[in-house]
Amino acid sequence: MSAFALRNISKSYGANSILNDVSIEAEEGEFIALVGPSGCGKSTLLRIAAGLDHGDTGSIWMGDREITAIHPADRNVAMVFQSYALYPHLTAEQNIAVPLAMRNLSTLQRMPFLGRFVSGRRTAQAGIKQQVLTTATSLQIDHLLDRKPGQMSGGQRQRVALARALVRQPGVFLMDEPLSNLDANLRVHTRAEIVDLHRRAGVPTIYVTHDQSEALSMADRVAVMMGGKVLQFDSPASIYDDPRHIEVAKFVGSPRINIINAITSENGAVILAGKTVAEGVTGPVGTPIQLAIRPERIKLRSASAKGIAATISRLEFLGSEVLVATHVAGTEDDLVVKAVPADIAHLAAGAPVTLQIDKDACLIFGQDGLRVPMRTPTRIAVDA
Amino acid sequence: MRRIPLFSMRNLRLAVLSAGALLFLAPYIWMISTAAKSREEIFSSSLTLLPQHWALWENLAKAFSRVPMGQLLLNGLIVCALIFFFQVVIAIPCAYAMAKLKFRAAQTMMTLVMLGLLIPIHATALPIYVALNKVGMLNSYFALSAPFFISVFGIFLFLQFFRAMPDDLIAAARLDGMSELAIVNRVIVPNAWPAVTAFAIFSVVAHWNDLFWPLIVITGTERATPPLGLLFFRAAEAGDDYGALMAATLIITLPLVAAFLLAQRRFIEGITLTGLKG
Repeated sequence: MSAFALRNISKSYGANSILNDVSIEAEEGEFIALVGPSGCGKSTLLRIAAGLDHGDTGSIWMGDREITAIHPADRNVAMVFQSYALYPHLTAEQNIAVPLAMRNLSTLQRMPFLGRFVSGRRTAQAGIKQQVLTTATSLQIDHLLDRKPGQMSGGQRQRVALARALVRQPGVFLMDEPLSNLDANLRVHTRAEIVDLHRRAGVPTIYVTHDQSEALSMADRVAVMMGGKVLQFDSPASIYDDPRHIEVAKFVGSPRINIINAITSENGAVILAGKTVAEGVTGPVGTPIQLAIRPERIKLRSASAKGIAATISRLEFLGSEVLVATHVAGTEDDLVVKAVPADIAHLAAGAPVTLQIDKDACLIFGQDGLRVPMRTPTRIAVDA
Repeated sequence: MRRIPLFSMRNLRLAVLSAGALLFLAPYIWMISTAAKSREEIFSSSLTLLPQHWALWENLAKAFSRVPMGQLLLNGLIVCALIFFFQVVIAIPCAYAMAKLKFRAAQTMMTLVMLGLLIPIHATALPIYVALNKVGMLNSYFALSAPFFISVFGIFLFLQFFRAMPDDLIAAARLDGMSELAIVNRVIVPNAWPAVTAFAIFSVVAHWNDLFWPLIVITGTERATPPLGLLFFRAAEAGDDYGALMAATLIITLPLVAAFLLAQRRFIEGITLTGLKG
């Protein structure tokens, strides 16, 4: 039984289908990333998980308790928003204390002036203050407690928002692109901090992002969403190396995966510029397929080497690596190769080179976008 | 520093603006001047701005002795406070619901608010008067204030302001365990002070100065608002004593002027706010 589960959630606005039978579950202490392009429904799914929105069908479970119809406040979920959503009129301390005050104090005790005379308020408030301080200290924001959000930097606000979510010890953590408003440096730094925080708290976390590198680097499992569907829900390594759908392959990885249109030959072989690059593709001969190859799985060799002949059309120097766009006769788009600077020391645009494609590097997708099954045992890349 | 020639564009602009300001201020200045003049001087053929014999204190004393000035000011204060209090209490939750909650009647309500903005009090005055008469509520604070408790202008103003508030803030409040009423009290209102201030200015100025409605529902001085009190004063007592009348006018305009001077910055912020976001 999973700690938190969304089961068969569908949602549409009029004829517009936003979510289509989506199921996601998080085990105890698991970090799940929902990743996809904007408009794929990932934020809607998160809002449904929080109870801010409601699905047309489907159910939401926390352990063995169904919470589909339960009010957001009673679900014991915490959410960190992209805009942080701190109360502008309250100090950091008061902001962090709000969820505790709403839960631990009675309506009477919360009254602005009269509350002071209700019994038990002082003890409850002392407890809250202590919890706020502990949480703030663990996030290293205890020195900011009497500042208002307007007097803090983006990174500090983000920590206060995290503290507010953390302090109530929720059953599940929901995060909606919490890093997208930070500058690039801080983002990478905070990534590690959030992962660390998650490990310490041990609370299942659902993290929405449009940044595939964020998803791959932070999550235990990644759900790639597109057009209101989960295309693949798997470990980061499987998402990257073994995509089930061509859209997943295209979305994940930078630079983007190379896609080549091809047709199967005898024995299910795929031939690129006269060389067989894959074998054992199922289906009749002449089936149009799409060949996908990661840029780092292609090796750049001198023109005299054995392999696929190509010419360099563009070089992009990135410091530790170079992206080389190469043109292979008979293909439409350039093939991008990730090379080390040493490989291209003496090369310039227009120079002839040879490409060698790694064994098992070719991912074959059918016209419907799904992976084409391979005949086993597969013998691949005989002479490439 | 570069010397600015006498007939520069800048000086021309200043001259035009000063002339305009003088034109608009002239009646008020004349009122102050008259309030300080004796009766003989007001009706003398020579026009002077500065009085030859200062009679300001006498006129003020007359104004205070001939009409219950304290009562008038108190009535004005009570009526304005009542109106403003209920307007805010009704308009804020209403505007919040229309701006941030999704419900079926939202569109219809918006249309009704727009329609309400188009209907002046003069159109509904008669039926309201008849109703108040039927329930025997004329000549009361209630009659003075109740027709203004629901301010569509207020709803509209707050609506525009609340729309600009981030949805995430309200979502966060809901997750933190607040009811909708608590969201209004603890999140919306504390962050809506600029809008409340702006609305307070419009509401208080309008109802402090209003003569039309008090004239309809009030017949005696004991519930009269300041402008109505002035009217009684002129009709019954002063006759041709313009010095005392102007002194009384000075007294009733003074609270608003003082309030404006004290809250000048907020006042301008408020006006800008409605200009930009309205």
